[in-house]
Amino acid sequence: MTISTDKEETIYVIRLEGELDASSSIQLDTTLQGALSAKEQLILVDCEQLHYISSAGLGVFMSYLQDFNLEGTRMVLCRMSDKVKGVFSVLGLDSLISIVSEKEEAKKQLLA
Amino acid sequence: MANIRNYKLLYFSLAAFFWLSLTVFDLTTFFTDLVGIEGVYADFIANNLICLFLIFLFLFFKIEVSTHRQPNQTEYLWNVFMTGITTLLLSLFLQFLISNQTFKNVILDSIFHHLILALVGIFIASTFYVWKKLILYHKTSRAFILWNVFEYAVLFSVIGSFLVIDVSSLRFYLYASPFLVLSVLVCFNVKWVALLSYKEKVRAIVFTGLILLISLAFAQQLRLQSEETSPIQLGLWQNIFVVGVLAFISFYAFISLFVIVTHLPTASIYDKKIEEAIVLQKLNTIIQEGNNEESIYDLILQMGMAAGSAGAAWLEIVDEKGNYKAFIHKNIDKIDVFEIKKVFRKNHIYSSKDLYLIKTFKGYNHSERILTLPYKSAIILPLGTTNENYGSLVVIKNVVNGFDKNTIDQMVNFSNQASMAIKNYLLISDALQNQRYKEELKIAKEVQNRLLPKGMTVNPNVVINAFSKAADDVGGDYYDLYEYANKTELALVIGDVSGHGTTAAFNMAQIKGIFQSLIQLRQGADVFMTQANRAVGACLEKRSFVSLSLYLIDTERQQIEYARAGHPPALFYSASQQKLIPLEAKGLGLGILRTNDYEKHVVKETLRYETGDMMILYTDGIIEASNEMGEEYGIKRLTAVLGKNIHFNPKQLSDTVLEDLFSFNGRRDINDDYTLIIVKFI
Repeated sequence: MTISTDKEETIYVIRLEGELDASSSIQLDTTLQGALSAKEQLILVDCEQLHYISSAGLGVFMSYLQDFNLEGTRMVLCRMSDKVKGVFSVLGLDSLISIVSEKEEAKKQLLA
Repeated sequence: MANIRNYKLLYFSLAAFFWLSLTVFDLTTFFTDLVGIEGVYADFIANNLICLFLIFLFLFFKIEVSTHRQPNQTEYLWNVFMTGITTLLLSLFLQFLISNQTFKNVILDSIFHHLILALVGIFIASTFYVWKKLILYHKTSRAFILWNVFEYAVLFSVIGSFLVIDVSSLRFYLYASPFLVLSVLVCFNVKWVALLSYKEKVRAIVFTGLILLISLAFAQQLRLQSEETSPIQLGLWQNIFVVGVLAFISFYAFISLFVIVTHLPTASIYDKKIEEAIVLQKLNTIIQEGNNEESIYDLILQMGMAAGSAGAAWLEIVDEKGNYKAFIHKNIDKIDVFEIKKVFRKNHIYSSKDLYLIKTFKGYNHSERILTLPYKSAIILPLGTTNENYGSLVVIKNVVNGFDKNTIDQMVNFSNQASMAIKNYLLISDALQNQRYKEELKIAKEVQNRLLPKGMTVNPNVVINAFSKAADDVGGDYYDLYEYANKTELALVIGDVSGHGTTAAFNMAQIKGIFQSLIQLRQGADVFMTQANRAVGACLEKRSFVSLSLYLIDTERQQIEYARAGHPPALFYSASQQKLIPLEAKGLGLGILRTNDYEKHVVKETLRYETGDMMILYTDGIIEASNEMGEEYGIKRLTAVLGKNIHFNPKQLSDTVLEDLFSFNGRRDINDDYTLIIVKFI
């Protein structure tokens, strides 16, 4: 799993590559924790290269939902493969997390 | 064993019989000789009897000595010495009686001569076979073969007694030379000497020396006896066999004596090595006997003090992180230990790294207080292997310069052995610990199996088949059943706790508690989920969540009310439409949203069913099982195999699906928890 971060205008972009399982979920946790402490308001997670997500990976996303709500941070996930999207939607996470197909769409949603 | 004992008895009886016959025969010939009988025949018969007596006596001792086990070599020597001194004194006494004509009776004298023969025979036979034991000590096959050849040659040489051979003739030496060569070769097997301790060697020198003297004394006695002109003497000095064996016994005693004497200077070094081996053995035994850690450390401390002949010592044992595990001290106060450790610290001496010798505390920084105490010199021995540090042993003496080169070597050796012992102890206790964990897990597995319902339903209108397997010993998959008192309503639940193994299993147990208590409230499936979400949020740690589906089945009204909280949708089979329909109600997993607005994220659905309809529940382990190419089994394959075999009863259908899953997967197992439940309405 490789996680790279970038700043596009006011948006904090997190790019996920590979498989997000129990061990690599710690990296994601660190990254999200970093964004939270840096008081990032707009977070875009690019999942184009994310091939697999385990329950531990989902657990990391979901554990930050409340913190982001309290801080007023908005997070959008984009460019998910059908398989990964399936995992999110079966669990019902798509009703809590904004998931869009295109990156531009995600940016537009964040900047709106 | 009884067989051997019988032989021993037989040989002894035969030897005694021939000895008696000889005595009687000799007496008879003595008297008949007076009336004139050919002496040549008489000699021949007498020789025959002597030979037979000796042969059976030797055979008797061959068994006697080989069945008698002595604890060590000096015991053997002691036995030979005792036999030798007893037989020698007795025969000298008899000889004395004969020479002094005490009884003036020819018959008695003759009997005395025969008794001397018996005594000589006993000495040479028993000694011969004890020598065999020593020669074959730690035997090689070569030595064994050599000995056997030698032994049979010697026994065979008994017939040599029949020949009247001039000992000084060349022919005699020609015949005797193979025996000489053999006996010399055999005599150089003296390995037993090497294993004697210094003390034992000294004793062995005394004994072999005495045995040598005894056999020489016997020889001398026989020689003197032969010079007598008495008509009744037996002429043992001319008996090549007796003299030959006596010579062999003396020769081996001499060689042994020589070898022991030359080994004596190195004996103390050998003793030291033995002592080291014993220390290690003692340490290892104490470990294997399952003694506790303290007693092992105590032993190390005591042995360390003994190795350095020191008056005081302390031992520190640390764990992998360097935390103190044990600290024991002997003949030194704790406060003095701290004082000395302070000196170490101030002088940058670190006990865990290398051996360090303090010849005197004088000259070390901050050593003023120690100089007033009776601790003058010290040695610091680190304990550990190349990769690990177990602590250190500090041994203290009350004299300046208390550790000489030898002692230091000995202590280094000891510390290596102590380190090995600690390592062994740790390995053994680790193994035991792992064993214990395994047993615990086995118990946990059984306990978890009991959490899942055994029999599925008593309602005659529903048949349920459930299969569940965990990737590890325990897992996070959950299913359960609750039957209401009216017997027509039942609740079926299936769930999956995030993660695997023990953590998931603990959470699964909590979910069971939540389900069993909430289901009794008879609320709607959506209300159940909302309350379950609150409970899960309170019970499970922040990042854990649970997917759960609840089906409230009413067999009287033939309807199902259900809610799905993030669990993969169940498949409903309509018999009339011959179609598999996924039950996709909207619903968020439990424990994800830990605020009060969960109820907005879950809905309940109701569905009517007919007789013959089915419901297939599963966890993601089934559809996410992947083959070698990384392909997932997926809902499509599941639907396909179900569709093809839907006419089967639930048990057959379940087996068929699993068979299909395994053949796709390529193995009879899946690296995940997986559960499959098939419900048929009848």
